[in-house]
Amino acid sequence: MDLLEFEAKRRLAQKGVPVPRGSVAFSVEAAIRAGCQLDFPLMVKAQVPSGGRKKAGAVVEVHDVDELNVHAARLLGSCVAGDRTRAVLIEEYLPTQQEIYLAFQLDTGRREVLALLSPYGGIDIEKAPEAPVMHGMNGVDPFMFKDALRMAKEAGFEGNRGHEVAELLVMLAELVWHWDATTLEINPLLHTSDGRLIAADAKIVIDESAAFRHELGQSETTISEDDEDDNEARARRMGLQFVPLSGGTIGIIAGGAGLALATMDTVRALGSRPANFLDVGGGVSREKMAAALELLGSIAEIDGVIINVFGGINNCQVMAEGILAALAKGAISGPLVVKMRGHEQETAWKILEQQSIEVVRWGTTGQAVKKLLKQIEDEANGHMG
Amino acid sequence: MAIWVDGDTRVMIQGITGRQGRYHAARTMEDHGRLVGGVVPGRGGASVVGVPVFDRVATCRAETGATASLVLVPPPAVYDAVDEAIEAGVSLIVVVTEHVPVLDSLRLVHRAAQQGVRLIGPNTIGIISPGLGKVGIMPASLYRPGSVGILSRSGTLTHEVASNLSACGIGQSTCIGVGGDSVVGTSFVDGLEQFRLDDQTERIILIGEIGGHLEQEAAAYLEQGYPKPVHAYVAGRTAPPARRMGHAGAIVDGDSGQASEKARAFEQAGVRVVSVADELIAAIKEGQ
Repeated sequence: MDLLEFEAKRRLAQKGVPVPRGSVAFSVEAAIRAGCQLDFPLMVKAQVPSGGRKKAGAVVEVHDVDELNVHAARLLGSCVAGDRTRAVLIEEYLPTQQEIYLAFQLDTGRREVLALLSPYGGIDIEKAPEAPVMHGMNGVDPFMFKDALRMAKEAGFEGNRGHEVAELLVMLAELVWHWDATTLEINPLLHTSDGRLIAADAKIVIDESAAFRHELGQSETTISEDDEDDNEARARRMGLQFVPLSGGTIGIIAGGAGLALATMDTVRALGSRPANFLDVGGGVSREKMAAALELLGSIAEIDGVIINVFGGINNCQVMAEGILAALAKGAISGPLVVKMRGHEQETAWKILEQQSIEVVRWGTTGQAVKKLLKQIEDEANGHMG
Repeated sequence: MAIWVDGDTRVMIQGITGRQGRYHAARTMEDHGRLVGGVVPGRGGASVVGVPVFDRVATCRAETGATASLVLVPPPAVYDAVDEAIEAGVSLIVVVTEHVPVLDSLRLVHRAAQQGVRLIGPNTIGIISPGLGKVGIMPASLYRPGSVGILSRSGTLTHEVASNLSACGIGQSTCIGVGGDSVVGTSFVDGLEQFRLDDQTERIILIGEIGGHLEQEAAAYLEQGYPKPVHAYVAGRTAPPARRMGHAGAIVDGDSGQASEKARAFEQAGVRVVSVADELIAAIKEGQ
């Protein structure tokens, strides 16, 4: 879950991390009101999750009310890198001595949260002349002030400045664990002309699995849903992991992401194209299985469906009953092959075969897909002549 | 011989009174999985499928001699449950739960490593040494004893490959679901190290998928030389980039994590790579 800049800064400020004075505005009028509470020049910043805003002209400095008006109006509602701008952040302009890069990033390859510090702030860190100073945290051994101070010195921050940067590192490190942040990036951290350290931009990504223990407001969740199409939104509401694939005609319902991917690969290898990825996951109910079939049944491009599941954490009988429920509702009427084995398989096979559904008991995924392709071909031939 | 789970493994289920807990307690009993007890704070004194339930892991260990824990509690409870098991000296912990906060997983992985505890998962079907024992949720009837070791990031693909092998009369020594999350306690390398020394295992199958680094790590390890044939399938050649495909670890991020890239790394390390899962069966048969 990506927090927008103003949301990230609000949280940081609540925890005592200095951020620029300013406020978020959802309309031009509000932007003007916000601007009038500060002195010009001001920063007007589009609130979108994508990076590279400055380059895209989505972060601008304005010198009077007219410019503020023009840019707020231009940015609000505009598209920046595919995201719609719903709000702008109006902030004071801060004369700056130095721009610093400070970040924490979960690195799954190293199995650590990396603390990163660099004197090359304000630019894309990957393009900096030197790599940032790094320190790995495993979440068990504490990140101590002396570790932070060592980082600061290595990055070239001496004396008082070094101490201040180190203190901020320790404070932010704690917030990373507290907030379940897989990314916490301050770029740039400004060292202002009057000697303060201020987080001029903040990017925070919160682990979605941890949402149960964090209060995430409405705005923090609606943004990421913008990219979905109707079917994806429907699937998400039903608790299904669904990704449409363009140009495909073979519908896939699988138990498990790996099996779904493998089924997609197999369909392709046999000369056809998968229409979607769909993982019904563990603990699937009758309703969920039925909903999955109904979803695919409603997609016109799909010529036939393969259901490829195991009764492991799921139960074959429950899944079979869900399939029959969907069929009884007329959710799907075309070619269908069910490859299923595991707990309660005998009962499931019986009830499916009683309804004349083609069941693959012990064959491979490839054999099941071939049967589906044959059904589709037979149906197509039956409609000719 | 098998690895990590054998005829002496005694299993406790943390979360045994929940829906999944009860269901898999019953299946474990049916599969002769040597279930000896369960732990649910506040439910001590109860009994599920004839085994006693305790409030605390330490008590369960003391009273039943349990050596392994199957964790079937919801995501918010996983950290405390596993932490307690580590503290109580359980030597093998399998976390089936999906959607565990990743930073909880990270801390648990390091806690376990520091205490010499074998942690498998989260988000896994578990581990089975067919004919000897299991700590997991896989239907044992799909598996049979033999000499093929399997390490897999996908639970149901493990069932797929193992059941297809079993149907051809080819059995398995130990099958381990390393789990679908981006941070897990046991990697391909961990499993390969153990299989190397296991007399029962003659060849190994790695089932990978898009996302993460486990395949690349394994390739780097294998490149240094490995005494047994290794076969691999990497799922997701047809997956679109930048979309999370189901579980947390399955996402192609920018340039890294593509199936083709992982397959190449494996090939360079001398691994026999197939492009569809079914071909693994033919490859193993050929090697018989």
